[in-house]
Amino acid sequence: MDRSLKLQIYRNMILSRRLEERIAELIKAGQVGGFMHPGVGQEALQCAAIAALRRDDYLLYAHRGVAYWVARGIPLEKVLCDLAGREGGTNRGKGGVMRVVYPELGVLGESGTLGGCFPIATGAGLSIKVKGGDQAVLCFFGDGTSNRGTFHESMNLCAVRKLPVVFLCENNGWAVSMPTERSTAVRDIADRAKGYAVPGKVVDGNDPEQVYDAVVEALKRARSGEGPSLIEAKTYRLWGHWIGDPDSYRSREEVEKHWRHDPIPAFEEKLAKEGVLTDSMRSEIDAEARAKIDRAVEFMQKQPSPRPDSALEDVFA
Amino acid sequence: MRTITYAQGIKEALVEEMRRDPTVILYGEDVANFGGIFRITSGLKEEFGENRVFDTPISENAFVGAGVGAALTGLRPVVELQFADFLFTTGDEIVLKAGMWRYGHGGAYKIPLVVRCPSGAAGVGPEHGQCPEAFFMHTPGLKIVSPSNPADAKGLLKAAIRDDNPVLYFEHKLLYAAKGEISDDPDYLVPLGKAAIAREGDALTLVAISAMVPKALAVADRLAKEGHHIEVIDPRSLCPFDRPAIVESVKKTGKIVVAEESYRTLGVGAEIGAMLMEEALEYLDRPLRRVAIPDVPIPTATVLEQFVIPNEEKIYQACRELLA
Amino acid sequence: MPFVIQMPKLGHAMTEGTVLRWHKRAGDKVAQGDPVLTVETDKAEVEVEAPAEGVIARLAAAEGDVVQVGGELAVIALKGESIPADEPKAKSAAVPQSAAPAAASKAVTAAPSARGRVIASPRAKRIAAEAGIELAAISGTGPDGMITEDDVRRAGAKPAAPSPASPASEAAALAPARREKLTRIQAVGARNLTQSWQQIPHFVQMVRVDMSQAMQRRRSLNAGGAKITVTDLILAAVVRALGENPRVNASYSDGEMLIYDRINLGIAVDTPDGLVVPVIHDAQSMDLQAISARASELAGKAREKKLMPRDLEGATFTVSNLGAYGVENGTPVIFAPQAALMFVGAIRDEVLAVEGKPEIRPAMQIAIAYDHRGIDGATASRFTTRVKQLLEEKSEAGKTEAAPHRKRDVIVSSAASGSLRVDAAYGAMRWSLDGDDGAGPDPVSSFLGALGGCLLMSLRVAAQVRGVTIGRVSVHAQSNEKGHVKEIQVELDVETALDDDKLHRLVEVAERGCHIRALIRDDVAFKMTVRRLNAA
Repeated sequence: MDRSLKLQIYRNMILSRRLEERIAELIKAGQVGGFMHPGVGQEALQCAAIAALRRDDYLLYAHRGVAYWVARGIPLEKVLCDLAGREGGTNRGKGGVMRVVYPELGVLGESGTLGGCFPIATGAGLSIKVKGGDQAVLCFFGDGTSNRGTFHESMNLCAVRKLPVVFLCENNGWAVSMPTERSTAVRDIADRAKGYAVPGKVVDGNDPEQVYDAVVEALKRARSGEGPSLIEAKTYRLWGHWIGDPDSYRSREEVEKHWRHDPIPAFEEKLAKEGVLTDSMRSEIDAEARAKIDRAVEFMQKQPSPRPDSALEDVFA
Repeated sequence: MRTITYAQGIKEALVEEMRRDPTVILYGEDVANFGGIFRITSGLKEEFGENRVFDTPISENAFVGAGVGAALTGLRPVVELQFADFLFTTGDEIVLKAGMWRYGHGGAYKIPLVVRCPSGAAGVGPEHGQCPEAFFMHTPGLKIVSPSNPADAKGLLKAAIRDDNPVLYFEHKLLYAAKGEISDDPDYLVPLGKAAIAREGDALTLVAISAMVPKALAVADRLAKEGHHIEVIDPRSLCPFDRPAIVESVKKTGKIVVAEESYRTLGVGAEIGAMLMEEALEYLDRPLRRVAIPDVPIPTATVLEQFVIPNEEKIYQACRELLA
Repeated sequence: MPFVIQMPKLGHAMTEGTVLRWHKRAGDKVAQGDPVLTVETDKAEVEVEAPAEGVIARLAAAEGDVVQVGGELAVIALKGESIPADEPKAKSAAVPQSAAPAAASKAVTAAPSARGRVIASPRAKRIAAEAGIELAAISGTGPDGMITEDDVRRAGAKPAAPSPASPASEAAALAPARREKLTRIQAVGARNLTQSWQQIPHFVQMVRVDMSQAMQRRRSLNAGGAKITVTDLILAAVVRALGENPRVNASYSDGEMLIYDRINLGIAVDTPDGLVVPVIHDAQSMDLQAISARASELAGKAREKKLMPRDLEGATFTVSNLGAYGVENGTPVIFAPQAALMFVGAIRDEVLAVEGKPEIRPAMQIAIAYDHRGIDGATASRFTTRVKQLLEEKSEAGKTEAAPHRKRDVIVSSAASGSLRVDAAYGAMRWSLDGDDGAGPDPVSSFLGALGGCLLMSLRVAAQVRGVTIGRVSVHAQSNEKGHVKEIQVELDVETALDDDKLHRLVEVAERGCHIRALIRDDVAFKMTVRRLNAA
């Protein structure tokens, strides 16, 4: 990773963190009614993995956090308008913040049912293969979702047809209140790759460089027609499952311990040591993020609600 | 004009549309090497290659959902389910993905997907013999067609493939061998959402769906000999549904019988009945009669199956009751 | 087996009822006792309740349908049963007595039912309306006798008779702003009144009553905690006067007077839906308190539309009190077959001559209509003046009424922690309960003693009021064997020469007048048997 790429990932991590903090404030103040699953603590892997994509690749993000959209370059204004159910977003109030979509950047949208993403990703891979292109599909999902049947059917179908799909598992240890060791028989989700004769790799999800390198390698394999890969990025969800989650199922000690491994200060420290990031740059990046968010919130607040009868539109093409 | 079978009509539609448009692909269980368990697709892999015609593992969730994903990204997939009943194994992909992905994402994408669903009781029991159209009429975002003859089989499938929306294409297993005339026009299309008047008459409206249509026509012959000239309407598309065609016919006749191979409760006939309450109550001269499967699963043994499946006699009796 | 709700027989004369409102629809769950529908009989609207928990499988009649007693109204699939398949009904076989088939049995000749409902297809109705054809004149040939399009077309040659209003009179024709159909109850009432007015030779007597004594009496009674109304006093006076003038408590029938010893007093009650006349049965054996309580109960039920047909049947005399509306006098119409009816006017201050001097007194007028076929002027006058006299007499009668309850004030204390003994104090009296040292009875025994005592006192008072003699009386009161008190049995032994009927009526009055009896909860079974003591 070169210096500018590292800074780009860092900038996106900061922007994502600040945006989620702001969204939490907006939701708690009742200014928006969005149903948001925060990704605080998982920004490193999300920003780093997406940094490895080409502009014409396809992305199926998971339901946790805003970093996917930030890293892919979707304007914050649009994300906020979707969150608030206003005009000016990407889905005209139909899908909320859970269904941010951006065809220009290959962002296909999101499955409301967990695990609905896998067959869609498989289909996008099929499309690339039929048309003979060298794009790839990056499909995020959580440790809990790896227990859906669609995961297994899709891994197998992609493997037998050698479809260019990278499956990236964000293992944050919890499926809402269910710890991974109780939901999942294998220790590492990556082990499941063996069942489909696919390479499976475990990386530290809080280390952007490890994640980036693994995704680059998997994408290369996909583009060269060798088929899918499975990457498991170990991480931790620092906030509750949703904004407002009482989070009563985890001990405070456990959460405290993981805050000490918050990827943002760790990456800052590393970049500072390498001489990539100075204190003044840090404050500049933070101020820049806040200013961007202020502008986006202001834009969102001026947007009108959709016409009520537009609820009847978009069923059929 | 030529005479072809219903199965040929389906195959001709596939071949013609695949030749016409390279983004049309065809896949499913046993469709490529074997040519499909009903042998509709034999020879297609040879003509179009393994990239466009291929077999899938037994993974309905993955391959139906992949049809949605492929449709989102520029293909026009035709996915074959071995039996229409298997729609239930892939409910999320059909109802929530094919039916609602476009809507949930504010119309950002089109989903030009066709799912072929061989339907109908043929001695194959409860999980291979259903005509489950009505289940999917209840979900928004899906188009539904059920052709009853070779010409419609071909014209509707070609139109479905060219449509930018997901279409469930129900092909009745017992109709595969049915023969009928068809035009040679390579662009012979039957528009989705347009009912056919299979036979004109004014004594009674008999709405029949899919394999009920030939039975309805036989009933119409029999009644004509008795002096009653009934009208037989074949909706062909169940979504969009040609409401005016039925309303107009009922305005003329005042009596209606619906024959369908669905379960009675909330079946197609129930929807037609409700529609007539709303749009044509004052034209009804008799109560609606539905000839449908009593609310039981479809048994396997022929004697049991034939007891529950609507047949010519049951349709005839329902008509006679209203004509009395 | 699914349970079939049938049209209940809600009165002796009831042969059919109208389905007024469904409270449940097919598919609704019902618990036992849930109201399923309201049925209208000639006399009342009655809620029919679910006999068991289940799901309404099917309604067999529509609102407005007239169903014979015993006819099917609805089918309830009991808990655990599947709903019977809703197969097309094989004509009337499946539902032998539902409303539509009631017409079906005579379908070919008369689709328009005698009760006014025309069964025709919507299409037939539209065509008939367009052609101006009267459906009621057409015979139905469709299913269940329904009039079909063909029937209307056949009738097309003879369209409905032209409207009687000729063009010339059109300007003068009075078009109603709206038409209000009478309810079934109103319609029956209208028929009955027409008959009464046409067939009964009425004569009306009017008297003015000085109400100062009655008002005084009411005040003193109510000061003791009772809630007696002026109407109650009037009713009690009427009951007494009827008892003394039995020929007024009667009905004329084909050359003879049927004279009753039971006094069933009809009381006209105004409700938002019109006037209803519930009946205080056997008022002859009630004291003022009982009449008052019953009148108030019936009025409440009338306003809540909870009257049962039996509450409306069997009146022998009716009191109609329109005083509340300020009306002073009127000429009432008798409710046949009763022989008389009393109209009560408003009480107003009037100048009356009292012992030769003008005095302002509260006064009212009563007007009593009599059936002249069986009651002559002298008999009527005796009754009319007796009512007046009873209302005007000085309140000595008060002491013969059962003593109304007045406030009691008992203090109970428990002194020692190691003992279950409690001490009660009422005024200067002291007694103990449940002492383990045998200082007194336990609370239940004490209650049973109070019950027996109160019953006996009440019986004595009732006998005194009626001027009948009873000798020794005793009560044996016992509760059930063990557990909670679920049942109280009372054996009442009475030494008397009264006949059985009179004795039982007397005991009924005593029971009603017993304050302790009134305290027993409804879910505690109370059984009283009455035995005669051999005269010593």
